Amino acid sequence: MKLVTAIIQPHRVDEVRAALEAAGVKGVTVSEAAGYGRQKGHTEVYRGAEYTVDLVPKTRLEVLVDDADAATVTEAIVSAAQTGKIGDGKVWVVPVDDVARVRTGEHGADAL
Amino acid sequence: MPSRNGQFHEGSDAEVPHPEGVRDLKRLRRDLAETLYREGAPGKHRRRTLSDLVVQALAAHWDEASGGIVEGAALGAVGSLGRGDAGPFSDLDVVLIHDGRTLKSTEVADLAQRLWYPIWDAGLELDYSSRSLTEVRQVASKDLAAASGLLDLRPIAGDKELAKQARALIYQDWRAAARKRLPELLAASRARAERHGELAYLIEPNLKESRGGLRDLVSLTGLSATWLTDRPHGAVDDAGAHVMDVRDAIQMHLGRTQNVLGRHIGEEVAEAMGFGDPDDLLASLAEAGREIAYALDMTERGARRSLERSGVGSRAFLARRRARAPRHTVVAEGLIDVDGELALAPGHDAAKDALLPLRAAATAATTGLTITPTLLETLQRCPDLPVPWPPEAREYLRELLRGSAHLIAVWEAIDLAGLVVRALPEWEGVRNRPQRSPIHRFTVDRHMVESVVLAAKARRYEVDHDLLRLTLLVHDIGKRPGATDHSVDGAALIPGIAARMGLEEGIAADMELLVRQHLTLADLATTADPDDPETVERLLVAVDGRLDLLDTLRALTECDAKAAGPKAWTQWREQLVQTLYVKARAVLIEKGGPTGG
Repeated sequence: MKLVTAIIQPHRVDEVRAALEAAGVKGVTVSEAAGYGRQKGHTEVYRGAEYTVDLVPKTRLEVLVDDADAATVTEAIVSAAQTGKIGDGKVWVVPVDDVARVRTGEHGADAL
Repeated sequence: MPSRNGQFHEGSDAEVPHPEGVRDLKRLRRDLAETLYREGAPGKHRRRTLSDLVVQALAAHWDEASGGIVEGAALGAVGSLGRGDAGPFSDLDVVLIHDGRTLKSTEVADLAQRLWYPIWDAGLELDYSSRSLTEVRQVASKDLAAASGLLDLRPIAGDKELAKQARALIYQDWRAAARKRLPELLAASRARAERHGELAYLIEPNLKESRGGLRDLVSLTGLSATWLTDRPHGAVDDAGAHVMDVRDAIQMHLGRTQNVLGRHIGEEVAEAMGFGDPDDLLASLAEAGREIAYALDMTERGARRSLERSGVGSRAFLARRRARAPRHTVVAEGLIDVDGELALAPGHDAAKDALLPLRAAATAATTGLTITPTLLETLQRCPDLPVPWPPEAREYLRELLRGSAHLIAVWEAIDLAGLVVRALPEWEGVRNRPQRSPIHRFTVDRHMVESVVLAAKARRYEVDHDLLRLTLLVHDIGKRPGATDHSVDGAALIPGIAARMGLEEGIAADMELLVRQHLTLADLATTADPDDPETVERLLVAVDGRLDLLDTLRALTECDAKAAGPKAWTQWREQLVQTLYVKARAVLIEKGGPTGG
């Protein structure tokens, strides 16, 4: 099993969710995130004064998938989240030793 | 250990009595409750009948367990059983009282065992204690919860004179320690509110522990037992009875003790209570909870004032009392300040003064004076405001909304008195309406008032703050049962509201636009690309290309979200909103568009 984690632009969440559903993903965890990448934040001007936005708001998605589905899910996220601009985000995949469904006590792939 | 004929002997291997009196009590109580429900017995009668059944069974049990002791020891009911308002599956709250002389301590311990074990064996939940008369007084003086329960002490069996004496002494001590008890009672109420929230605003309310719940109802009685003040009756008693009816319906549905109206049983309990929609049941509970909380606040204030005036025998206080006569100051037309309370001025004819309710509310909000219950009753007899409202009425409303520090308390008072709905009939549709979104912590009506309060913190926005407050007051007015898009439905109500209030056409149009678009900035900021000129353009179209409305929408968005709850206005969300707002503002300034309507 793999954990696919994506940091994306908040306004791409709906597109990514639709893409994940189309890819057969049944559940996803969504949370608010903030950070910076190569763009190192940006500068805004408000009422004539400049201020620096160091941490840019992003959305974090986490999806648990079978090993065989990891590449498809990653590609679905990348395609749906991509705008081609700086700050589109990152997706990474890490192995998962085990998963348990709390309600039933099932483990492994059965718990996905 | 007492034998079945009431004689006592030493040892722990004594015969446990056959629990004749309570053996079938659990089943009998449930059967009787079902019969009473089937027959449609009123809640008060049902609770009294069930409590009587329990008391009779416990009396029979006492006779068996004690061998008919009638001197030196007594069994008493406390808490809800003592008051006669226990639920169909409520715990049995009982106390074994002894005079400390007639029975030896080992005999008392044996008697207690013979009383409590059969009750547990019968599957009943028991909350018990065993104390001498002296211990009863000591515990009552130190433990507020125990003292509150003991105030309801009802003799069941045994030496009933002893139980009555205990009750009289508890009351005597309670009154003597009123100065100490009052803050304790109120601190306990506040702690419960902090831990369990407010009954009026919870989706899953705890009917016993939440603010406005049954414990606060008991606190009311505790306050009046100090003899410092009387407690209100009528509406608050009806509210208490309603909360108990819902608690009983929950217990009947679950077949056990439970005080929380969980979401999973909402529909069943609502149906049992005759409500077609669980939200209507929650709305009725909100009304009841507000009534109880308000009554507690008023009673508390009365007790405090009484303490300040009388000093309950303190010479220093008596001296102060002589030195300071009650203040009577005219604070507005027809209204006087009487020692911190707002009252009707002598000779003022409220029946001819349609502006009085709004004037009183505005005065209370700006001065912090509490509207007396008598004045609230008087305000209900004032004539309706003419349509359109005269300019003074609009100014009073503006003053009321500006009084952010006291607005909530004043609004609660006038709303419970029915004055808000009289002035603003559309309020009825959102009154006590629960919100099932997890980000919301208040009912629709309270949320709107809370958002007005928060407008005081939005002073950095250079906007028409009266327009902002007025719009916030009605921004969710469309969240009525059956609404599909509350922004659109709410905007449709604004022309009627504005015409009744006599607002200028321009202000009415701005309010309508802002109510319709009150979610637009937050929605676009979180779901659309802020770098896309199309996103900015959509926002500018929403505010009619006007800088003043964009600024007002920004302030409104923040107040609305903050009033909803901490989850609705995170740093993450604020940053997204601010980014889009700044971009839109820059575009408008560059265009040199209109700044005001």
